[in-house]
Amino acid sequence: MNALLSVTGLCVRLPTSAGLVTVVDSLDYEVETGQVFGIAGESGSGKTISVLALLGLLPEGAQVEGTAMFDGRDLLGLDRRSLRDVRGAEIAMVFQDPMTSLHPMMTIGRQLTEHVRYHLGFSAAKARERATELLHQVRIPGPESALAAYPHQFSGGMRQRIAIAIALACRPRVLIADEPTTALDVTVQAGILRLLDGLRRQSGLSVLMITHDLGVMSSIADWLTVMYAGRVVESGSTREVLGHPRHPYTAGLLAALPRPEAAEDTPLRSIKGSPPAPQARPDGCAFHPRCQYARPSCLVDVPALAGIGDRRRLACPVDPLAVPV
Amino acid sequence: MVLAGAWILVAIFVPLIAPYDPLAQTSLLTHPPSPAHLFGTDELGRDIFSRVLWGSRLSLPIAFLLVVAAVAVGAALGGLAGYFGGWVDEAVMRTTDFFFAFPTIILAMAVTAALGPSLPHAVLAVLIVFWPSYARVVRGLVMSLKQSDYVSATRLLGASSLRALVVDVLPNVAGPVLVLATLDLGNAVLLLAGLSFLGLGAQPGPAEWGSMVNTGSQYFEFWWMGTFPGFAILSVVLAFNFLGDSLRDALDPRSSWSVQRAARPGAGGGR
Amino acid sequence: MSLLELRDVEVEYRRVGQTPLRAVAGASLSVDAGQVVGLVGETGCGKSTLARAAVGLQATTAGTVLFEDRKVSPLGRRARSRKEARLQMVFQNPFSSLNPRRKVGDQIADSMAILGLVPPGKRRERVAQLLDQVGLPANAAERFPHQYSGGQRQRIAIARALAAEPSVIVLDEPLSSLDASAQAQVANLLKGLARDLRLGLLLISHDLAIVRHIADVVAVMYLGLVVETAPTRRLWKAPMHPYTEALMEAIPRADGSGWLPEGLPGEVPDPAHPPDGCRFHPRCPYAFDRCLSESPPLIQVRDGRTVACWLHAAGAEERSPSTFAKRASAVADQVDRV
Repeated sequence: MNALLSVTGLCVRLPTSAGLVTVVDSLDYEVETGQVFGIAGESGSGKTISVLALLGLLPEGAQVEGTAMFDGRDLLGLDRRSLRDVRGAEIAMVFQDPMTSLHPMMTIGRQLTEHVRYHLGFSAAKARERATELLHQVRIPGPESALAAYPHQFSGGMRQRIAIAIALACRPRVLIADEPTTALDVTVQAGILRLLDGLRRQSGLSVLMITHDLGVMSSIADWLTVMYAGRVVESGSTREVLGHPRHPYTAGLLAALPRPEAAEDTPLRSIKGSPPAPQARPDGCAFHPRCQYARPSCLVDVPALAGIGDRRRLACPVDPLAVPV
Repeated sequence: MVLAGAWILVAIFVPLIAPYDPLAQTSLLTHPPSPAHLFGTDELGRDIFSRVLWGSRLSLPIAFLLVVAAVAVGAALGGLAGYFGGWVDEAVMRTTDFFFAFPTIILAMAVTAALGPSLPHAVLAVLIVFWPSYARVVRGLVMSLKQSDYVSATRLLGASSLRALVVDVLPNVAGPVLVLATLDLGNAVLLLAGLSFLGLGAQPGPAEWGSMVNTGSQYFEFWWMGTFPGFAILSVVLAFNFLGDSLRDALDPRSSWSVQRAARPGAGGGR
Repeated sequence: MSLLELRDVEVEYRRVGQTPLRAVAGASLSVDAGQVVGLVGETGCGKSTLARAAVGLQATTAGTVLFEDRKVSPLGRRARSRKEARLQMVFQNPFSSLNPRRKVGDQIADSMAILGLVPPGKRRERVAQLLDQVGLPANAAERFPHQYSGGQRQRIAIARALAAEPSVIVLDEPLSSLDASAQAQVANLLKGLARDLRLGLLLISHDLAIVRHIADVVAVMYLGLVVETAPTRRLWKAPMHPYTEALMEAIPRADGSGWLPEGLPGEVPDPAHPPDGCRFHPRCPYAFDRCLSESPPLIQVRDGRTVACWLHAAGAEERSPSTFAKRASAVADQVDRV
């Protein structure tokens, strides 16, 4: 098991008018080379904040604990200069809305070549060559003329491909994708997912995929961690977690999704209530107010993340969905 | 904010605090600051400290009423222009364009000179100079707000255009306008004092800061005569500026709010 | 007799110095009492424009919109009458469709006051009733919108629409900005309301999967045109238009199987410059020569379905293209702007 990125005990606290609020609480996971690792969760789960912490992109006054070992170095302990070198060159990120993550006033060519020239010291000609190669890799038609164009001249799906190309410019080993397809049509989304899948198979790129969409996770992620209110509730292989969910939250989320295989008349089963805001997290198990299996102990004890099988973990002492042996 | 509050308190309680009648002339002509006269006396022997304090009674309420009037006129015209568009908009905009063509002070000076130098005329001049900015701001805000979904919704529910404007749009315009108005209180005091300094507003006699500075500039060797009223103007303008800034921060998303946003990365799907 | 009827509606935007944009190039649909019609389509298909045209927030350049047999006039200076207000709308963004400075209860009670539907003394009661109907507690009336989550605000917007005693509600992507759980809750609510109050609902969405659970009839739009309509069950059993088929195949499955959905090649063309012939042909796996030059009309086929595709003749049996049509070997990638 060659873990490329190993996160242990990550805790993030952010300043609010009501003092410091714990947004991420004891997050552990490992990403291997060439694997797609998914972190799933809804609003308030802390999934985005947890990756921003890795790259040093948190707001002022944030407190971070834990370690994030990448290539023998702890990302959380690096100074700003070193982090800047890591960012972009070794760990790159793609965001949800390509319209705001691409610079509207710079040509695509400039945005692509900037990176390689800064991190790898390429000459202008070499950088241009690399830029064309990248656009080709993400299947943008007419790469040469695309270099001179501006982001607004492209559609949403194309812009996301360009954002991915920029992220891959310096051949990073890890690509973090935060809701990369949420703003796109489903037909376009399929194309982007296939692209990402192809990229990791060809070049051994590891992908850290953050999304609330379990369908997207199912299509592309090998391993999956489900977060709720800042903590991990369940993790394991995607097949296991989505095929046989053990945590009531995971099961509830899956039940709320429309299933093309089920009959049309079946009403969608929703989890009552809504996810708590970071400053209003319930005591004990954060999910207990919405859980139909809650026991008195759930209101008091924070469930520990326990191993329940081969690389499979669950934070639910009640374990109501266990399949009898 | 504390400073502004202090000045307001002074203005209210001045008859109780001021040691002397501002108009009473003593025999101690142009006496420098002393324990009996904290800010000294002026050329007619009047206590400057008291006059400075009494000046607040003049400047603050007038500035306040001035701004309220300017906001009222400007908001009404700007609101109508923004909401109804068409010729109403054209008429209002061309009028504000006319006023904007002139630098503020020059225009104010021109108006007071034309009407005859006196405090009431100076007040009118400042009003004329201030209202176009509000009209512009309110028009802009109304134009963007009238596109919002909640305005469309209310129209679908049967509301008339006017009702939508008054009930839905204007209350949401109030915030930014309030900030501007508070900042303008300082500007109003300054402009009024400026006009009086130039001899176009309050005439020497009653305790008005601007005219006091004017007189003080003539008696330059008696530095206390102009300096203290000048400081009064400075501190009031600063006070209201800070107040306006705090108000703007209070009405804007607070840091806790933006942290909440960062911690709750976009709910669900959607394009 | 349908409550809401759109006939050959076209909406064209004039643009300064550019070719006009036909956001809707001819769409027809109808909504009956107690019926939920789902209008599905992706970016640039014009569904939101059509929704706004249906309630009069957008003027039409051609075609007619009839509500309860009367023409719907675009919203102008004049206030809407009680009868006209029986056609309501719920907007996509629950954060901007409620006035942030007014109490929830006041906003819900608006139509009662304006249209004179409920006397002042009874309004509080009615507001409480409506809040209950949408699954919110009565004390919500005293609070402000920002104190609620997206899903809850959407319910408030629905309650506000219900207060006007509508017979038809048009909902523009009401579920898009909600969490999965909230989506399910609001979806169930809408279905229940249509059934219990005999409301006609026109539900606009890009999510075919969730529309399947709520709608009785589905209409699919592509680049300004309705390309297929069918009762929901039949549509899912056998999509007849290649675009509908592709939409279904693109939906990911959350079962852990690792199955990667198939997308469509190319991108949606610029609505201002639609392709010649069938608008979908550049991306269609089954396109043949007729598709390149002639645009197929929306025709009636069996079982109350309609489709606009040269693969199907009038009165044809329902069958999906993948079951009988030949896949073209090379499909040109349509590149729009660059």
